[in-house]
Amino acid sequence: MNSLILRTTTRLLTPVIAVVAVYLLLRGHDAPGGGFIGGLVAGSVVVLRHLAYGGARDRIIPVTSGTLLGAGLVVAALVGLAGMIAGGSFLEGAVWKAAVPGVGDLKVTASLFFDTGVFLVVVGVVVGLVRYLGEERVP
Amino acid sequence: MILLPVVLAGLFALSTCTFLIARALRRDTGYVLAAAFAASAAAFAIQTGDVAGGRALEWSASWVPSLGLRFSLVLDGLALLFALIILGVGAAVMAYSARYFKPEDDTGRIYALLTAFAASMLGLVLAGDVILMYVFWELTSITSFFLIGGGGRGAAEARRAFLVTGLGGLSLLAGVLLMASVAGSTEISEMIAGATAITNSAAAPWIVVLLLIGAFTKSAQVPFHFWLPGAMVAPTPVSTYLHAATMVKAGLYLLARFTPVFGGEPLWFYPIVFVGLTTALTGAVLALKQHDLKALLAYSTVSQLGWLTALIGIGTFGAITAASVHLAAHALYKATLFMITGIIDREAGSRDIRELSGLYRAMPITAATMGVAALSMAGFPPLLGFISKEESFTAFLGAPGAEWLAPAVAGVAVVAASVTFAYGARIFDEAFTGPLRQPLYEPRISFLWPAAVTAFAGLGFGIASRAIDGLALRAATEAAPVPPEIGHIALWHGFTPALGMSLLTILGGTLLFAARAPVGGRLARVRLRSPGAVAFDRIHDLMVASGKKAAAPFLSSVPAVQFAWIFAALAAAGAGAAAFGPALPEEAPPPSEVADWFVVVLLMVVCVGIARARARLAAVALLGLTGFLVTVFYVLLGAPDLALTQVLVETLTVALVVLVFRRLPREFHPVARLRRRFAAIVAVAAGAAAFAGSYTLLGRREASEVGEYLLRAGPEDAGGNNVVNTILVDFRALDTFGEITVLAMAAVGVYVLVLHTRQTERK
Repeated sequence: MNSLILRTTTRLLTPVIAVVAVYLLLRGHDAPGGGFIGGLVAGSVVVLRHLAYGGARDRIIPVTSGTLLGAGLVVAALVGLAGMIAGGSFLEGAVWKAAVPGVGDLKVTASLFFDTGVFLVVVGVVVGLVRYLGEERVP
Repeated sequence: MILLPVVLAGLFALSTCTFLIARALRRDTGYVLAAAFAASAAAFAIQTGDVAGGRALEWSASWVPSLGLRFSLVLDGLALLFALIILGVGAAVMAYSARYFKPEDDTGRIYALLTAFAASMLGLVLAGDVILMYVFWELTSITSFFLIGGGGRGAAEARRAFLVTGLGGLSLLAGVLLMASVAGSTEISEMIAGATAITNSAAAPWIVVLLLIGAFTKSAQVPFHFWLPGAMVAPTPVSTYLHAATMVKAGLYLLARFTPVFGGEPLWFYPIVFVGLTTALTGAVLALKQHDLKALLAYSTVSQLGWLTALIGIGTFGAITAASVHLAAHALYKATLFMITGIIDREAGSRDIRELSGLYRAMPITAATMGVAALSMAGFPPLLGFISKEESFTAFLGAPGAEWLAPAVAGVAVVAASVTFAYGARIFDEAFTGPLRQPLYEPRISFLWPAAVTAFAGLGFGIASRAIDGLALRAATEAAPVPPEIGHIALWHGFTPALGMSLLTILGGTLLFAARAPVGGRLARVRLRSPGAVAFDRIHDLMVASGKKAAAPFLSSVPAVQFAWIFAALAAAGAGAAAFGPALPEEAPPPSEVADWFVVVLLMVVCVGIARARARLAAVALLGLTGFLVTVFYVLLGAPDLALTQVLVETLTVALVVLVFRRLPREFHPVARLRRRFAAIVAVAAGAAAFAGSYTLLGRREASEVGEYLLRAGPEDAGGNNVVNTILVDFRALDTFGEITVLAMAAVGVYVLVLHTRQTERK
């Protein structure tokens, strides 16, 4: 599948899919999307590039899957602890709303950060599987 | 008082930073930790005046409000006594570790675990809530497990220690939960206030039995004592700190903590005293049998723990005072002896006590330090070990309960103490007499001083016993009714019965020591296999064997064999439910539309295609197609999140499976006709069961109450309109946290499998 068409398309699609993934993550609280779906979309970039470029040389994500998995779990745990300190119980939620001039009403929830942790873990799993199964040698 | 959480959180934080510190300082990290421990110990020691005066330090914060749990810490006399031992001995052990380990050793892990253990142990004794105490209790077991088995060897011993203490931990949890349900609170102070309600309840015997199992397993009491000598495979600092000075005393702490509730109850009193004295005697005799210094000390620890258990069981004011003093004395001399053992092991390469002869000629300071500690263990004046032993004798003589009990207890105690004296004297004798048999040199003073500090602390506290008097009496006041007149602990009380018992002990011990050759020969011939260990090994092996048997079908390397069992079970469950299950509700099955059946027919066609496919890639592609067809259902039902997830997962799965399949032959292996038929029957039966289940069971009810609540509360409480997402990251966020952890573990599992496969391929 080492075709020029696929490679060119992949190069064009990579930033688009990446933006879509983040968009899905951000809007997930109110519309279809979220950390899990966003993570899978982001993971599909990695798979696509693996198919297009043959894997071993591609380092679109410059860290190991272990780093992503660990970072995701740490983020999720920290959100939980922050909720415990601020709100009184582990993973206690919070909603902040602010009106940003020129942009409109902005809403951020504590669960968005938690969802980011989910996102990172899902990306980490996909990256890991692609790298472990796809390459001749385990990194 | 903010001191308590600050020290506790500080130690946990220090534990996580230790890796980084150890990267720069390597083994010298021990000095940093020792300084932190010593500073914490000093901060606690300053509180002694207040605490001994009855003003306990308290701090609490909201923890799990929905269960009414508070993160409460209390520093009273008993807690302070333990805290000082944990931090004080901890400082010495850390300073010792800085020279025990070799400069090139990778010490980050062990220092981090030791610090985490210290923090957990401190949390255990400070916890004012039983659930909190249980959490720390288990943390000490877990850190102990990694510290025993971490060196690459000792996996079996670590597992044994963990299973025994872990089982005790679960028993403790059941006990405190029962107690909390009777008392109506998980706060220890409330439980003590409601003591009569607990002791009068029908659950009281169960509570006592469960708590005792917890305490006896942790503190290595007969018949659970066998894990402790096994734990000696750990590096010496670990043995010194966890398995002599602190962790094994958690059980004693538990007993002392709940003495105000159960003290004086026959069900509490008799078993504890009986088990304690049995352990004291068994451990002492087994210690006399050992030649390996570390094993000797391990059995000696078992024996001393039994002694302390018996004292706490007696539970009078005097007994708790004696136990408090003996706790300190034992921590000091046993820590010294372990540290010296480590030094000799490092210098001489042997721990055989018979090879220590003439030690003082080559290593005078080491020998002197060891001698002081051995004499304290033997109960020789003016060391702290003498005082605590004499206080103990007085307490044993004053044991309440049946008339025959006090003399019997005192008699057994004298025998156990005599044996202890004998092996203490034996260590002393080997070190100080005889010719030097091997070239030995005094270790550097930097290696030696921590052991010397603990040894001479035992001497100092013996002479100036008033220094710990207040704290010991305070701990006793909290646990037992205070007698009209309180004596002070001292070296000399005049000609008391206890002095007579001390003299009797020294006499008996000396005789036993003099007759060590014949006694040793006798003992060597007795092969004592602990019945507890035998039972444990049998149960353990039986469980492993039955687990293997149960897993056998799934250990096949042929996936078809594994799936056959799962699908056959599914089909059988479906048939069983149809035949014996409850009747279906009267309502009609949910309405279906033409579009639904169109998808169903397509799905069936695709499934037939998969079954008939010869090429692997074709099968995978068709399998992905079934997933996309299911997505159509989600779209039809209006579940965009599910549909999106399903599409993505199917796409990625196909791509990943292709990555694996390109290593395999293009086509499936031909399969025998009979096997194909069998597979077809199983598959059709399982499919029919799954279809029947989905068709008849789903959609028969209106939106559930929970569903209504989530739809309503999502926008209000969680600030999100997507109910799928608010469930995932708000309402059931803890579940999601668990799921992503499992996901991460699965990725690690794949990594290990791939790595393992490649390594075997290379061979």
